[in-house]
Amino acid sequence: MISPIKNIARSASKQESLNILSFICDGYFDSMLCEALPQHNFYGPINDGNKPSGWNFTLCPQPNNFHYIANINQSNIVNKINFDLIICHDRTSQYDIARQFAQALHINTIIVEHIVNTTHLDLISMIPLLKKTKNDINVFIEDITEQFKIPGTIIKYGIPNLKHNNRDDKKNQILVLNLDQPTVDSIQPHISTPIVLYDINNLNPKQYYSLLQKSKFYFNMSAEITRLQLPVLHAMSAGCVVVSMSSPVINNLITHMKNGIIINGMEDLLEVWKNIDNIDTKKISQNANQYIMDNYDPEQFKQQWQNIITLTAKQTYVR
Amino acid sequence: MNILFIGPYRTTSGWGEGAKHLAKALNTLNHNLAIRPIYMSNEIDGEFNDKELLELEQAQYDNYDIVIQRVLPHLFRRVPQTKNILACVFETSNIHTTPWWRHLSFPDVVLVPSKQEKENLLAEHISSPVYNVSEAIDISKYDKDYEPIPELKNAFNFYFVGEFIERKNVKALLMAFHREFRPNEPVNLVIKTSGNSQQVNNDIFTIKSNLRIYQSMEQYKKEIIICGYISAQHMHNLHRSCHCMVMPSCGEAFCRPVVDALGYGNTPIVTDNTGMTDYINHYNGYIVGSRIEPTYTTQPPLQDIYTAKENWANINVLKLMSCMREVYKAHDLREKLKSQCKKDIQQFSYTNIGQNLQRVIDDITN
Repeated sequence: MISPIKNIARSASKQESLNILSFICDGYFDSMLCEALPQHNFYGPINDGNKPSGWNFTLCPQPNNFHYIANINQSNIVNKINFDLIICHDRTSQYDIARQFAQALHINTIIVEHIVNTTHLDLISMIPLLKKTKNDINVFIEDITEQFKIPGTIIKYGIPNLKHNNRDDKKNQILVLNLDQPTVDSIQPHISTPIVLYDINNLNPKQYYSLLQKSKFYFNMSAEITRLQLPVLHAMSAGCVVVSMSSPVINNLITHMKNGIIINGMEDLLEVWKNIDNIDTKKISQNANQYIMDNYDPEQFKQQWQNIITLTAKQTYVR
Repeated sequence: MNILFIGPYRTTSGWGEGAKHLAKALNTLNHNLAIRPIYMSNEIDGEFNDKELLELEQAQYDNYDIVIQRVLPHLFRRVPQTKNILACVFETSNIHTTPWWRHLSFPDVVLVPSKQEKENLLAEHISSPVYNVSEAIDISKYDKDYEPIPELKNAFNFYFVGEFIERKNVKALLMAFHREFRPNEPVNLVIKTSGNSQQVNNDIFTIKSNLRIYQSMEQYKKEIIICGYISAQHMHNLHRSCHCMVMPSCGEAFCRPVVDALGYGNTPIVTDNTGMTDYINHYNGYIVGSRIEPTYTTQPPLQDIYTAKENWANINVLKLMSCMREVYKAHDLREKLKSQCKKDIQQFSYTNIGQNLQRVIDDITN
């Protein structure tokens, strides 16, 4: 039998180290959060004994303060660990399980909304989902509270400054992480700059950052329409000239020819490359790095998350 | 001293009311008090806006000397490095036959609201010390203005406030009322209950049709049924519009509606051998004899509670009928009882209950 008494008592007293039932996002974000808040313990529920498939452990090794809970519904863990709050990343499957635990343990839930662009979403159909979460704490990673029509705190991702000390050391190469070899082979003959392709799943953090720092260009051929892609942010931070397919998310992030280059297809790419020597890539590189430093400050990420987690843990649970 | 109180004060049940007033009684003491809600049911008070309690909810201290938990025993947990008090309210006798017995040995102190409950626990060798501290009530509310309920004007109004469950024994009340009073007498029976209106009306219909006092259902005096949640102001209007509270319940640890009836000076009639006889006596109301029998109910609130291993007090319906008649007839006596009621309600004030709680706190901390 679960009793919320110890959880309630903890929320009423000051705790230095919190126990967070943290549903797994994508590995990137989970690592970022754990590393920013090393004093807290994060427990991620997984369905079985296997590690989650969506988490790239080579690139984002499991942080020391992150632990798995297998089969949480059958687990006795909630009687052993006094959880202080829940973090979840979607309003459907994760939230439904999170809510059961929130109600049983009388602890608050933070819902992190990773959507940064709503133009392709049917927001009306989301109203019941948003209503369901009215007593929870909403965190947005970009300011889209108006579109969602619910209050929330905006905490942008925290991206480290990966700027290479001497930009001139950068190799004249295009780094590609999310394409297949045949596609690269079909582009390369038309482009004078060498394209280097790596499988992001095989890179450790050191290799990953080093590649970004060494490469002058970064190609993003994905047309992701709702969520930010951390490699793009990392590439900009490292001072790469990001050449990306146009998408609502990219168009919010990159101003064409200012802090990156936006293309609308292969013809566009070839056209840009014809004139690449006439483009001030040094300026774009500096602007890209500056943009990330101005908008994705890791210290601010850490402070804001520390504040919201502390507040959420001590806030009276109201059903 | 830092005290943390955990209770269901954000719910609308009797448990919720009890928790609310216990917190207020604690707040009369000179301690640092923080409170936090627990939800044991879905009866959530969506309009909760008690300023005093909302302020106490914001309080947070580094640690606590005492944690008071007003919860069902199986939800009690010891909070480390503090004194743990369990304030529980239940009608269950023969507690050793229930799973609660084990849990009652974990707290440093168990608080119960009636002598009967204390005696029950002591007789069953609960290892925790047991203190009898009554529930608290807001005694300032009774004399406030009210709006009379039109249907209750120009009649003598018996009333019942409580859940429509077998333990409350509404069947005995319906039997006594319809057997004792003819339909043409200026007497009403008001039943204020929780639950679904149609279900309650069906249940009352079934009970009355099985009484077979009259040949047709139309011949019965029609009761006034109020179902579901009503605001504090409406409840106040109801109490002020009625004259005699009848609580034929088979078991009550405390019974807040009866204490309220006392505060309003509405003669209470209650079952003997229940927790209600702690504060109802022959000077302020009527105690009707009862027979102790094994519990029988088709509506157990929890799987292991209210089994036939426990006892209930079944009211003597014939005696209940004569009491109701006497209260109805004896206006002068009722006035006398009323003045005693008004004196007796003082014992439930926040200050008084706070002092009783302080004595318990002194005992466990010295």
